[in-house]
Amino acid sequence: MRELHVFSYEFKHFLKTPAKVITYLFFMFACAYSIYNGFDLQNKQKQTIQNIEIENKNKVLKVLTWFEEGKSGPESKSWVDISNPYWSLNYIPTYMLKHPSSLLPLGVGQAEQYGYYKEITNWSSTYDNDMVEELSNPERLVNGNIDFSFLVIFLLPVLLIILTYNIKGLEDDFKFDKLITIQFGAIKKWIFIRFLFYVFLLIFTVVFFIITVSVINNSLVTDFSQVKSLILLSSLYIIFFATIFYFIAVYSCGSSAIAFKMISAWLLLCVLIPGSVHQFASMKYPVNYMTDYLDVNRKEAYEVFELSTDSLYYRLVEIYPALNETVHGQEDEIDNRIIRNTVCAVINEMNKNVIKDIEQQNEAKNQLIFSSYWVNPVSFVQNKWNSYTFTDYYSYKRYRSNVQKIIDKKIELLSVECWGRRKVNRSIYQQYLQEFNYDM
Amino acid sequence: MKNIVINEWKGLFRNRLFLVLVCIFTIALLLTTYLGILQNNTQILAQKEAQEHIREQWDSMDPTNPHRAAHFGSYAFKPTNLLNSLDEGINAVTGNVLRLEGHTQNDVMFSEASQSLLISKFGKLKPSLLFQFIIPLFLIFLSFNSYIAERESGRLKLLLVQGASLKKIVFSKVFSIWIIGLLLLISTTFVQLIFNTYDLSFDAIFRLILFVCSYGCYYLTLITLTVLLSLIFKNATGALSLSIVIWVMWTVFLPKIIGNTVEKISPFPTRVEFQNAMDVDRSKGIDGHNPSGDRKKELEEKTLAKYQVNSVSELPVNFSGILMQADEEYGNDVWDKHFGSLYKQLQIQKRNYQLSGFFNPFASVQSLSMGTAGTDMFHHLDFLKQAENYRRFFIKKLNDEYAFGGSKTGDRSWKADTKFFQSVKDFSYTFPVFLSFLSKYILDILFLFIWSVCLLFWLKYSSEKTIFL
Amino acid sequence: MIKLVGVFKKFDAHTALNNLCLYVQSGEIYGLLGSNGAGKSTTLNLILGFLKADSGSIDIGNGSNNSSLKQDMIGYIPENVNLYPYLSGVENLDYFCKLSGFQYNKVELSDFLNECGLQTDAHHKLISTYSKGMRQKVGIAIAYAKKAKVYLLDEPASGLDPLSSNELSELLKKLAKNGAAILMASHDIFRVRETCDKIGILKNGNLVKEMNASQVSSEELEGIYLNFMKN
Repeated sequence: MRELHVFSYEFKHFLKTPAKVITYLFFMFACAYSIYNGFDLQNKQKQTIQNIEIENKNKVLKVLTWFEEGKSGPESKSWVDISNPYWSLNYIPTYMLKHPSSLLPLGVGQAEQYGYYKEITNWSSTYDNDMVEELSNPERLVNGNIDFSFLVIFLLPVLLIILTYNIKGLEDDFKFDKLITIQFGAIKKWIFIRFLFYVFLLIFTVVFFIITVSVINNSLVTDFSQVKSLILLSSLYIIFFATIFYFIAVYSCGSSAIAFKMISAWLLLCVLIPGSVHQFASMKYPVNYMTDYLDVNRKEAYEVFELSTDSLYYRLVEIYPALNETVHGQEDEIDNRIIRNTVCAVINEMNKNVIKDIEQQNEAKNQLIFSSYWVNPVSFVQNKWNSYTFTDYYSYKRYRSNVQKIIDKKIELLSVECWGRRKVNRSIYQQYLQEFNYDM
Repeated sequence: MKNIVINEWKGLFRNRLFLVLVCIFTIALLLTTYLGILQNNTQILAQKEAQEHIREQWDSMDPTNPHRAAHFGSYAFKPTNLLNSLDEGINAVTGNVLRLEGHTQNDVMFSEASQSLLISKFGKLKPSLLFQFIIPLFLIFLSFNSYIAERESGRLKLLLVQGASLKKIVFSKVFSIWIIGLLLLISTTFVQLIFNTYDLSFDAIFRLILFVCSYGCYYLTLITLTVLLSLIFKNATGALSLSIVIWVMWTVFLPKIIGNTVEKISPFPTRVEFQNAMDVDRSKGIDGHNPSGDRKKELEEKTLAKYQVNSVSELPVNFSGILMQADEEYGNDVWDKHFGSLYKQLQIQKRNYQLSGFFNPFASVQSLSMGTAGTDMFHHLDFLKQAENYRRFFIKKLNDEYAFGGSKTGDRSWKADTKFFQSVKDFSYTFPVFLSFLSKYILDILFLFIWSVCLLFWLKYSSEKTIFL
Repeated sequence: MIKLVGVFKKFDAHTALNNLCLYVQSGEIYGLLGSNGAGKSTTLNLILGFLKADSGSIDIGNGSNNSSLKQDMIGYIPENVNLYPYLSGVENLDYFCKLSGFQYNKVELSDFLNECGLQTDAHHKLISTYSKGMRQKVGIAIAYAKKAKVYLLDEPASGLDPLSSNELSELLKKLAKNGAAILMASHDIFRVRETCDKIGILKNGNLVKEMNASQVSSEELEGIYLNFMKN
């Protein structure tokens, strides 16, 4: 009963301290603002994706008209012949899109470090120029966004400090801590109950925003397990910091000392340790200039172009053994044009091999980051959070892998169809479209 | 005043906790600076190797068609400069490699931030991180305690009775703590100087001086503000809380919210919109690969008239090369128009952000810190401009060789020899002299100065007006 | 009642209390005089349960060694009753009552404050606007509302004006009349003489003198006290 009174009276303590109320309201406002920003980014991405889709559909409709009107391509480009699979496949605008997660407003994560739409051509790779981030102010990127995850992970502990630093601190300052002990008994329990109030308040606040966004974006249906995990993660995170601050309050004397120690703990966990791990990781794995990848796209690609048609023929057959069974595969003469039109498959294989190495190097750096989680819990929470909102490195790695799949699919289809000397008409073109998820 | 300052230092240096903290900070600063220099050197080496590797490929290129070589292209690697070890600035989020080729102006690729999971939201443990986050907090607590301890112990009354004015006392407190902040700053700079003596230019020294001065000004602002709040507020805890809240607002919250707002005030197009707009403008020009259209015709007529022949096949030069260069130049105009307005917009955003220094001196010190370390947006844009200028030179050289190097129109198999390719000079980035950039940072310098001077005046006023009971 | 028998307390090499025997009956006010470091606060802290005696026994009437039961019986009024500045007198009283497991309505709370001499119009004002005497009264009301059998006061009259000091004396006498055992540690010889029934003088942890207040005048008490302190 007494415990319940302490808990309920804490609400009065809270309300009677304008600085705390204002800070809390300010935090609420910041949360609302960050979520608005998140929605804004999400809508911007959705709009861009929608525009791309509309434009692509228009391009496809145009090609369908050429088939209907018996044209071979655009009038300005007489060399284009859409009955040739090489051209008809080139005239299928192929994009790999990363649709923003319904939980993006809750955590922008690394979304601003990567592109989310990629045009797939015969020469595409997952480290192309158009895979980089959207146009944005780099200094703004350095400062980061006011996104909800930032507020929860970095500012919420500061809010918790402001709310709790004078629990016992004030009693120490005014020297009536003994009176509390005489009246209540166990002072640790009394501090614990008072902390509990703020833990509940903050968990309720965070959960309120998570649920609100989830309801607006229908995430409770589409991404229920992620929503559940976000709630659990944020609650544990709040408890984690509250526990540290609780022990500081118990074993320190006076609100100044408590505030100083709490802020130091925050700096240590949120700034210093992640900064040290970051520095260490950069020293162990310096920025990758990706010269191997550059070589493939420059020197080695040009060396491939210099190869004889015969060599290219056998390299293509090695990549796609099924080409042996195609019309051209059965012919005695090698058609230089077909080989040149499908040589992109060789470059694609080279790109894939070198990208595998790059991804492995990145993975080694990530493993180092994983192993630092024991001493760097904030980064763990940050990356976990981003993984739930599909905005972490691995979400974009999956996206890159999907991009690669489409590239492979496009190039394989191109090779098989070109080698098959397929004559493309409207219905075959429509079959191609279906391969790339066009419903036309 | 001198006596009070000396007495303050005596008190501080006899305090074991203070000594331990100062030692920790000094060691941490020296270590981070040293590690920063090591990391920087590794990066410089890696970049040099990459640059040499790319150049080696270029130099060893077999005789080939210059236009093909233009597509073969080159790469510009974003250089790392010596002062990067102090403040990394935007380097982690911008790309590091720029592909330079014909017809296309590319983006910088392969940013460090995209190569792994997220680690730190506040950057690596560089001296700037300590200067911006840790030391200010330490100074806030020192200055808070310094005045409050005098007041609460009753020594303040004693000092006043002994004839010291409150103004003298508070200013002594401010300066004695400020000098400690300055010592930490100077020791870091000293390490920077020791390890980089071989490459110290006047510009680097000037940058370091400004770096120290800007942080010095910021610390003075912060210390004065804390002492002022302790003076104004009767409630010590209230004064400390407010100081910490202000610090959190300045360092953590406002930079993000203002950065976000300035980008919203003058938003960028999406990459797709930007590219489409450039493509539309470009398509109005002459397509080097598809020689048709009015511009081509006009150029053809002009060239024929210049050489007084009737057809391109009679030209003593290769018309394709001339055509490609004309297209390139048109492309350059398109680039200038679009990227020009993009860069202008970035500069507007930067200026608006700098204006926030009016109510957030941290914005000014952050801007000056990155600026003096050569890692801010101005320096990045300078790199992009120099790289683009080089690209233009590079492509023109190749096109000119194609046009005037001995081949005739239609002679697609014509090849320039290896010697020619070796004669094309490599990209070399000239780090800008800070004085030439100084005007860009006037707002930051001004705001930091105004903040510190205004607060000092306010402190003077308050200390004169405060009636101590 | 408060009963200390043969209490020893040492802090490292320093003996804070040496075989202290002290007895305060119900309805009695005991004044403990002594210079700084004589052991007054140590005595109070031992009774409050914040310190543990090296030897000897401390009994506060219920014969129990259970510290929480002990604390339920004790009312403690520190030297400076600085309560929550952002709460009113009634709210502070309400909070502290609830901490000790008592729940009263607003009228009852006001009655407690009235009984402890706090004017009605001050009840709902913030504590930060109270004088030291007023805060002292709230402190006593907290102990009173807890139905404490034992009152421990640490320098209760320090910093109080004569009127407030006198009001405090009257209030303590009223509490004693109702059966409370009151132990107050103080430097104020005059106030102790005026308020207490029994007076003890502590010197270097030894109870060097005990007397009935009615047996000595203020001047005599001062003489006895100074005599002990000088020798």
